[in-house]
Amino acid sequence: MNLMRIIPIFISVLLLGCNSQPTPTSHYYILNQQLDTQGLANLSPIREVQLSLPEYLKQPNLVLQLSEHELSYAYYHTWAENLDDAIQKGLDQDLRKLVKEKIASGNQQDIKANTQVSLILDIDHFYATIDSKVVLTGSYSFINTQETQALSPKYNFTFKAEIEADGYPHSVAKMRQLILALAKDILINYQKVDVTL
Amino acid sequence: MPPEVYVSPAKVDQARPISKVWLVPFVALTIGLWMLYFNWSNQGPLITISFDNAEGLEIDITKIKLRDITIGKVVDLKLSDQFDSIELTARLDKNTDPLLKEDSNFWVVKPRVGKEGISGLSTILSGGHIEISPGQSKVSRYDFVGLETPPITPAGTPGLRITLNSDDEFAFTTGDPIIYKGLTIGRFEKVKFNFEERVVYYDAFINEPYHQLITKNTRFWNTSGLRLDLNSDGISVQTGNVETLLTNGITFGVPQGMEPGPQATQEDVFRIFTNVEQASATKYLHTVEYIMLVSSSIRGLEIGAPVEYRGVHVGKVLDTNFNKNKHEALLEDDLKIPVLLSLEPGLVGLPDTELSAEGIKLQTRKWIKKGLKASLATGNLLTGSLFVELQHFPEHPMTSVSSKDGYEIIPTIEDNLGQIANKAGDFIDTLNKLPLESLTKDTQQVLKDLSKTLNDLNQTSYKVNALVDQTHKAQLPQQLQDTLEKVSTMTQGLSEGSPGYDELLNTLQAVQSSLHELKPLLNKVKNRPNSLIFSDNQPSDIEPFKAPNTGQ
Repeated sequence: MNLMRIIPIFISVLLLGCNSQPTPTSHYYILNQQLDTQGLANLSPIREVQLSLPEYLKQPNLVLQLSEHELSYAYYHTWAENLDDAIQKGLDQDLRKLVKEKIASGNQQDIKANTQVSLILDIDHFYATIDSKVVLTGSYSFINTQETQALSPKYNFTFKAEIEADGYPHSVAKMRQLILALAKDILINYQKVDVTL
Repeated sequence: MPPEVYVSPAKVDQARPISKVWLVPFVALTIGLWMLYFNWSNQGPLITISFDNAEGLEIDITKIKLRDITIGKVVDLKLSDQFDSIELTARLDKNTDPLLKEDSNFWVVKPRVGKEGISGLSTILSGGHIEISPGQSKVSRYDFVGLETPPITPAGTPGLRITLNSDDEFAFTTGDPIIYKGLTIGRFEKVKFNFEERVVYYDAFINEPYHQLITKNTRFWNTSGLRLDLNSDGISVQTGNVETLLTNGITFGVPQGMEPGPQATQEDVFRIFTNVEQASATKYLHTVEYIMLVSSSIRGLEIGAPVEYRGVHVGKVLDTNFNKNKHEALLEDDLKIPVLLSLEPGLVGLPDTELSAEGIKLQTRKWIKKGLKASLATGNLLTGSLFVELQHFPEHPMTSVSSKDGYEIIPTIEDNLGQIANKAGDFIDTLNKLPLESLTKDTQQVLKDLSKTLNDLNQTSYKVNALVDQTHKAQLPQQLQDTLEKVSTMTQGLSEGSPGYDELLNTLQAVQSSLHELKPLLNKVKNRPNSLIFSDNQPSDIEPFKAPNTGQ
């Protein structure tokens, strides 16, 4: 084999060394689908939601719980909006839809639409886990809008759902379902609030 | 009968006298002898050098070097018989005999920090060695006394060796420089003290070609450090070069107006003067001496102080309290202090001859009759040093020239300060004659009027102040109200719902949004600072996966 054949092969091998692996593409997620506000005006039972998120959820990377005390921030999967705003909007939309459904089913007497009640919502965990679940835990309580008087005890909640498909898109959809579950729980306990206080 | 057996005759070889085996030791012996001869024939001379101590010297390790070329090594070290020094034996290379002369020098090279700088730093790692300075003598020598320090002037250096002396209070040391126009052209080599004369003598060496500058009339003077002179001429600062700023040193020159004279030789002895003025002071042979009788203080008038005629240096003060032993009249009233002066024809450009001195004498006598006076003038107000000034005062002519102790007297007039004092006295007398009483009365009246006017002015000022205050008080509330309105307008511009507030809020939200977007990038840079430059090899994320028992 003469030298003129060896050199192109050698250069090709060298250039192959410079070849880089394809970089995974980034994905951005929104928690809520298109908000359907049709016919939902003035249906919110709560005037204001004061949401408090843990610090690890205030950053845009999606979180996956790897073990009991270990979390993993996704590098290529990030929220496209503030999770804080997304949760508040999603919760507000779900509450309005639930009220609307109750009105439609004739149970509106249970809902005392009141603009004097605010919700204090503390979320502790809201992520997918490595054992194929999505988790939403925390606590909430109702106060009057002047924030001078508690209208209810503190309600703790833990919602979980099984992940039925691989990947973050499905997990985000499941997380959105947990927000709906929370809204239902809030509405149940809202009916216990003595708004005359 | 047995048959006859034929026996062939024996072949007899003659035995060799020496066996071939002996050839082997013979060859070995020859080689050995040849090696011995070779070694002996390639050996250089064996020398002994004595030093004070053997610091840094080791057998078979310490080398003898010339210009950093190794020419031998130390082969033995031992104490001297009197135990007061060490004796070193060194074997030099072949053909080094020409270096070993009577005036050859040896010294140990080791790190030294001195006035000449830092030397021998390379020996910190390599260890010390012995340097040789080959001599120029024709007499060979093989035992030497080593020098403690490298020689200032290596043997054979071209130049001129001279002797200097100084009776100053401080002494120069070996290695101090001799400066000429800022260049170091030679150095002090040896210091010797002559107990009979109580004078320090120095051997100094001037390098070629500067030795041509040294002539019989050359004067040397001290330029050590920084010299600050405060005399009747003011302040002057003199120095040699940077080296003499830190150490001692001398320089030299030929006094102005003096011929250089013939070339100096090794036998010439030169004195080191304290300063350039002393060195340059020309000794004139013919002078004319006078006395001036001073009635004021002569404090500040020193021997050697200049005598000036209209600013021209014409002589000097020889004695400030001349003939003090004849002061039996000290108790007399108004004793005048005799000061001896000399006028030197050479200083005014006349030839230094008896004829010139006689001419000066006649001329001065004529001038004294026409009113020539001597006075003490202040040369430097700071130091108070005085000099003698000769001036003409035609209004005070003399009929004859008097003399004292054989010297003609130049009449004296008050010095500057005396004249000022007299003028001040005259001024005070004139002041006394002024009609001060009437002036005082007039002044008192004027002061009373002035006081009344000032009172009126004061009252007017109060009224004006009150008026101004009133005006201010009236205007202040309006100004305050205007200011508050402006503050209110400005606050409204930033209150909730206002365009300014919305704009501010939008800006803050934009900043927050930007920070939110930047957060992944910042995290990325934080984890891998080089990720901005190099390709991103971040592996894929771990993603949630479906539960094993789910059917999808």
